[in-house]
Amino acid sequence: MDIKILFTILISTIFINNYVFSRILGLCPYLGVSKKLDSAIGMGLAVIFVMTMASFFTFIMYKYVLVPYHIEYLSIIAFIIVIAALVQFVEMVIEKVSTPLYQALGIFLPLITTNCAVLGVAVLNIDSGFASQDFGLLYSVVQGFGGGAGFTIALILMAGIRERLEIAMIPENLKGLPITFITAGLMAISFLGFSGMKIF
Amino acid sequence: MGLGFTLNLSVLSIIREITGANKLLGYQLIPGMKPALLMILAPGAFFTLGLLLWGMNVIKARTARFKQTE
Repeated sequence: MDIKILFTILISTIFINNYVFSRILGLCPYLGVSKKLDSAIGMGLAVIFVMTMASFFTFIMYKYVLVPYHIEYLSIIAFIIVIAALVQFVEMVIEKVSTPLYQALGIFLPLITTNCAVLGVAVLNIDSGFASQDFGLLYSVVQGFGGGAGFTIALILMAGIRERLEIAMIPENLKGLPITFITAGLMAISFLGFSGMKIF
Repeated sequence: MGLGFTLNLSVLSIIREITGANKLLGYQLIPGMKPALLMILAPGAFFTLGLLLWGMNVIKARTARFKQTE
């Protein structure tokens, strides 16, 4: 195993193939929760946890249950069940630990279940061919963590910008979602600058 | 809701295909014009959707104003 590969996977999922800006995955919590910085940080941590654990469990499920029994075509159902169980766990923990955060996240916390970034990382781990590699489990966990971290970076940057946009002088009709989309487009352009970057 | 989604998706894809690839349903539109590659990448989607939402808000505000004056 080469530590370079892990580093490459991490940097490329955070910056080069950022899940929000270059793959356009997971937009609904991205636009829904980025109004306040506090809830954005909470949401980001929840997504990091769910994505890391989801890539761990779905990889194990795929390699040791689905492939030996030749039922790879059931992978979506299996992945969704794993992700739903994880999100249920996270929801219960957040409700007990921090009730204000639970109320601030609202509907978007259970919606992590169908967040396309989370299912996306599970499917991308399989598509990347990690299942047939020696240290595939480690690679897929790193890819899941990097995806979650990239999502969190995007979310926190956006929340900071949106808090400033609330008090900025902008045309009445642009307020709210339209200016958010245009800002996200500008940020996606800046993240395009990372594409083609050679790490080693 | 499904029909609205289809309409939105069609409008978005028509705008992005014309500006980003200078094509419509695979046919070249204006020969010799260079398309803006940015529009078929991720930022183009964000921009187009933002501008569409802006247009919707303008139309909404206008109809509300007309209703007030009546």
